[in-house]
Amino acid sequence: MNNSILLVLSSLAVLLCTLCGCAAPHSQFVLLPSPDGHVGRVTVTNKAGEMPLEKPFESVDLLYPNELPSQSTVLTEAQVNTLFRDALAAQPTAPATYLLYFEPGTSRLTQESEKLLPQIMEYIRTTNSRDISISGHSDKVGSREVNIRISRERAEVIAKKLIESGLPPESLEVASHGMELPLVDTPEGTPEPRNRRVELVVR
Amino acid sequence: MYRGCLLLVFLFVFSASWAIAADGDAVGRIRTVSGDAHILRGADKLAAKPEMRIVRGDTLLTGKQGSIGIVFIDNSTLALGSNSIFKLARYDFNVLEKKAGFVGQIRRGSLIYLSGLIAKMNADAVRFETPAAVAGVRGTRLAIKVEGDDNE
Repeated sequence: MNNSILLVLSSLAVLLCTLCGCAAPHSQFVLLPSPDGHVGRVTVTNKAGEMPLEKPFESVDLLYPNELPSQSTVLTEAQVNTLFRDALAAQPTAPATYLLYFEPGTSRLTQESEKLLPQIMEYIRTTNSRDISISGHSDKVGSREVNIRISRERAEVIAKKLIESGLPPESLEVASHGMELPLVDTPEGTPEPRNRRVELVVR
Repeated sequence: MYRGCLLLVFLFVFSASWAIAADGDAVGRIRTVSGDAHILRGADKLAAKPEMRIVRGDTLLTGKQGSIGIVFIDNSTLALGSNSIFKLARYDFNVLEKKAGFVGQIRRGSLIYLSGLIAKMNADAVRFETPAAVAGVRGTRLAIKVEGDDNE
């Protein structure tokens, strides 16, 4: 008896919803920690305002573009694993990034970075990756043009070593970023060993 | 008359393929695929396979048991769960020109995004749009679920 009343009521509710066009798709946003544990920030915005998400597994649920709930909720990791099971399983391995450092103004590797090369080649062999990007960078000593040239030479030196070790050239993508993307931001003209580098990404 | 038509057809086909080529720079690659998964590119519907290139403007579709995982050139990754419709509306990544932007639109289904260099270059550059809101992403991982009408 009770059940049939409930059934009628819920059918009516569904019908009403359909009639007034409120069958809007429901959107849920959940902030997740990065694989390295870092938690950044997500801001969810619509016509009703904005809501920041800053805690691990903090979540906001919305139905309409002109409504925002007054509070977010914090899910458990187990809830997230259930809600996003198939997307979590489809996540590709995040690319591995290696940094190789160079002597000032040259494309000569520092001794320590030279020693890192066998390890990188071993990793490429084990992953069998055919999508490797090599980008050269410089510090802010010298002109923009000179630094683009130096950072290109740095990238090419590494590419050559990988090709010599047997990697097909078509699996490499070589780029020169000059002084535009420093790891450590410095004023112009500052020598900075951490910026004289090649970033090698194995995807 | 016939020749004129042929020329027109030729010009049309040529300009269409030129447009695809000009727009065809790969911005990512498919890494994982399971079940029913497709790429809508212009009028083409391509079955998704590992190592396939993704270009801006692509719409990705997954079916009931489908999923796709992508690695983008800025090292960000995107995974789509089953029953998803996702469009890569914008993707700009040019370090020297300082151009960085990512706009993804999810109409249905679920996704997990792990940010990469685009988010590092410009803190406001990564955006995900759903029918109810827009999420701006600053250096992190984000999961989104949109429960839509399956018959859309």
